[in-house]
Amino acid sequence: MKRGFNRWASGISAVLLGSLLLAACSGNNGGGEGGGTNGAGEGGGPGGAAAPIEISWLSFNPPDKDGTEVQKALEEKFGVKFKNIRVERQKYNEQLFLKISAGEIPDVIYTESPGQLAELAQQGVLAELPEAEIRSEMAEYAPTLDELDPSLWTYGLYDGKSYGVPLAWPIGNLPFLSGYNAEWLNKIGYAEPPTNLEEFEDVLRKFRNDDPDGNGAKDTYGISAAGADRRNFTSVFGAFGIKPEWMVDENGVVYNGLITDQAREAFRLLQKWYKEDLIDKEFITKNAQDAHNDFYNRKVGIRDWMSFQFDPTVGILGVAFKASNPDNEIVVGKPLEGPDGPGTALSYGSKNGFIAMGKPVAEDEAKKKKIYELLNALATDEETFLLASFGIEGEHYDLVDGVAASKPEFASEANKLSIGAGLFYGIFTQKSTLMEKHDYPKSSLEFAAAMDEGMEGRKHYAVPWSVPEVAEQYPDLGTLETESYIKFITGELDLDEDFDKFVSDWKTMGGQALTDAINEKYKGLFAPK
Amino acid sequence: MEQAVHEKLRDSSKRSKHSVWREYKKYRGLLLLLLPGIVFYSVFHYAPLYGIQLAFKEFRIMDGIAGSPWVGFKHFNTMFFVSNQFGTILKNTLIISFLHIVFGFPAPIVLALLFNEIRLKVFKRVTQSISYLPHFLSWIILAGLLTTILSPSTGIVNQLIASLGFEPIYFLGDPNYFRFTLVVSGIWKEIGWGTIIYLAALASVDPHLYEAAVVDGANRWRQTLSITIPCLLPVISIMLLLRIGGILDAGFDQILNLYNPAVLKVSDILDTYVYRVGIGQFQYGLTTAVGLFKNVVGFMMILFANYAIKKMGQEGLF
Repeated sequence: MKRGFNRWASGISAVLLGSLLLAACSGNNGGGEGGGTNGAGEGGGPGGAAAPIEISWLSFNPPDKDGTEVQKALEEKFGVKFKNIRVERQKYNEQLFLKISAGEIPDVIYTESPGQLAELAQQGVLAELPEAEIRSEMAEYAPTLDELDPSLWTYGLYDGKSYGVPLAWPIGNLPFLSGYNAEWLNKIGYAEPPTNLEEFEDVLRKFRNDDPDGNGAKDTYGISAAGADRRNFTSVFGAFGIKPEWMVDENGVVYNGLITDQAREAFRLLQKWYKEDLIDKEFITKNAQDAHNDFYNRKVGIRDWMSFQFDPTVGILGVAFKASNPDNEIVVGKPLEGPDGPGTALSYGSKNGFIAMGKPVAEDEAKKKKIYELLNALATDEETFLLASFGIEGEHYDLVDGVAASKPEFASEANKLSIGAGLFYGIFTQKSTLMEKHDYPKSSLEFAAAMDEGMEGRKHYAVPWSVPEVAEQYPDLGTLETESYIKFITGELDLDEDFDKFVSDWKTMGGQALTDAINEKYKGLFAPK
Repeated sequence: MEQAVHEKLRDSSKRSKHSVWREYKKYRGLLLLLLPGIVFYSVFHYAPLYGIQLAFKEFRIMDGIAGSPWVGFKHFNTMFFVSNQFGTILKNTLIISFLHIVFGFPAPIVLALLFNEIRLKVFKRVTQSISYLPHFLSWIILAGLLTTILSPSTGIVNQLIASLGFEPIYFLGDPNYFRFTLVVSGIWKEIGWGTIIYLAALASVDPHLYEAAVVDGANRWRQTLSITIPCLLPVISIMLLLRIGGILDAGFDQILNLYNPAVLKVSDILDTYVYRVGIGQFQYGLTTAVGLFKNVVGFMMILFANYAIKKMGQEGLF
């Protein structure tokens, strides 16, 4: 009879109970092994007779089964044994926290953001990894971060302490842009993508009304979106010079674009379009993947997304679009000019995630050294990198002019999973500047350069902040934001009085406190634009 | 059978203590049957009670439940006074649950009465089985189905509505229709399953009563009113009692899988809030406090309903 939380609570507690017992057992094991391998820590050579160090490993896109070829090869090479911890990519945060709550603390934990890192650190489940230690243990990798962006070392600190090896994703610096269905654009008489908001509106209207797919039914839209995802309608917000979330002004001060007057005007326009039925009304119940699908399946003609993904060779959208529209292509527009001049674009930025280690590792010096050694090799040793990211040479990939090229049957991430290659062990895929030449085909690098052309100073990089001690006092701020976001578009809230009220509610419900806390903590760290 | 066991046990208690053990031994087969139930409840319903202390603690995973520091009523204070969502959430929970009770509770009774009138055995079996089917699908699957079926542009329901000349309705995205959608889809999923207990009760109604009524010239409607429903009342009241104890259970799985930011205002209930904030934001203390509040209210509702039903002359739970 009892549903819901009770069942959850009991399930979780049962798991908790069970795993407490398990934790107790494995704790003992860890200690024993640590003592045994202490001396052989350096070489990690195959000569050591000591039992392999067991490392539980949690990262993106786990292989379908244990004991894959790549796993075995890595285990042999480093004298370790992996225990693969699996978490769904789509619900990474949620399931990671569930695992941790149940007392299952992996040795290696990929964390997506400083916020996630800080929450885990606050819970006391992470081992401290001081910057100096990372620098000395990962001597080849550390300098590459200094070259990219020295603030990578500091933006993830929690309570002044470092809990993770910083990761950077250089390609993340590319802007979000609008991809258009080229055939449709031609059909409505546009040789080039629109360059300002008026033209954009015209395209939306024609995509809706002029039957661009030629099936005789009014069943197409210009644009769709994914619920309250802040990556929606970036072209529109960008035309007003903002993004509807945390951003940095020209003096380096952090503020939230959602409560600005520019956001008000952007919403006003979106609301007008929504009421005129130019925006897919069902965007509310869609997720990002649904919105992508609508674009490939010719239901919608424009998709705002991370521009690299439009690349027809390796981009997520580009490849899928090509597959379902072989004679068509995506043309990518530049940011739309708005009322205040040239448009801007959202960008993830190159700050990426962290590799953290579970608390138990702190007590096991040998294991910690081993993990560092492994990570450093994954990031900087070509042989290890290729093994983890691409598989075994000759079998899964070939070296062409010194650059790795996957065999066609192992080209996609999904197929890499079956052999254990890809992002799971290959955490540094696309994230180590020393290995970049293997990450992208030449054509894709050229594509990336074209996307970034003329974007200097026009990108709003993500602001990866984290002040959990303040954020946790305001559990309802996020709800207010997402709810209002949708209602400003659907017109349930107007953009005069209701918007004013939203701004003042937002401030009192924690927005102001957060703004202050972020600015205090990160003074001068985030570069303007 | 049960009666007999009771009789024997009562007899034995009058005798010396030693013979109690003898009696236990004698009926060990029956007692063994009880064991899985006891184990189930102790593991899944009593052991977790240990975690209730989290409502008064600042939980840190590494410190464990016992080791985390006490914070008194801090979380209750946050829940009632700091969070301005609590009122809305409680209201939603009560409204949705109330709608489920008002419309969802009688639905299986009506269906059971209708099944009872079907004369053709084969037809009855088939319709019954079909009505059970949705019960066996989880909400995550049904949510996918519903999103497709109810889509304003491509869904079959809205195509029907449009062909009748009305505007399509965004059942899952329009706050005015969302609760309606919840209740109707809830009924659709559980109505068949709910009839089972009533059909069993109907089968036990003494046929002589109907024969006598026919002799007195009562038609089928009269028979239903004067015989069938009064005979069902004890079962109905017990079912209602149990249902009212769960008045704050407004259907977690269903809502979690169907809701979205556009309808949050009318659909966010205690359970979804606990899940979102507790699991999503690591706030175990606060959400345990909400869960505890919910259980206390549920318990009070059971006591109240039990009292009321006894007053009305029906058999209560205790």
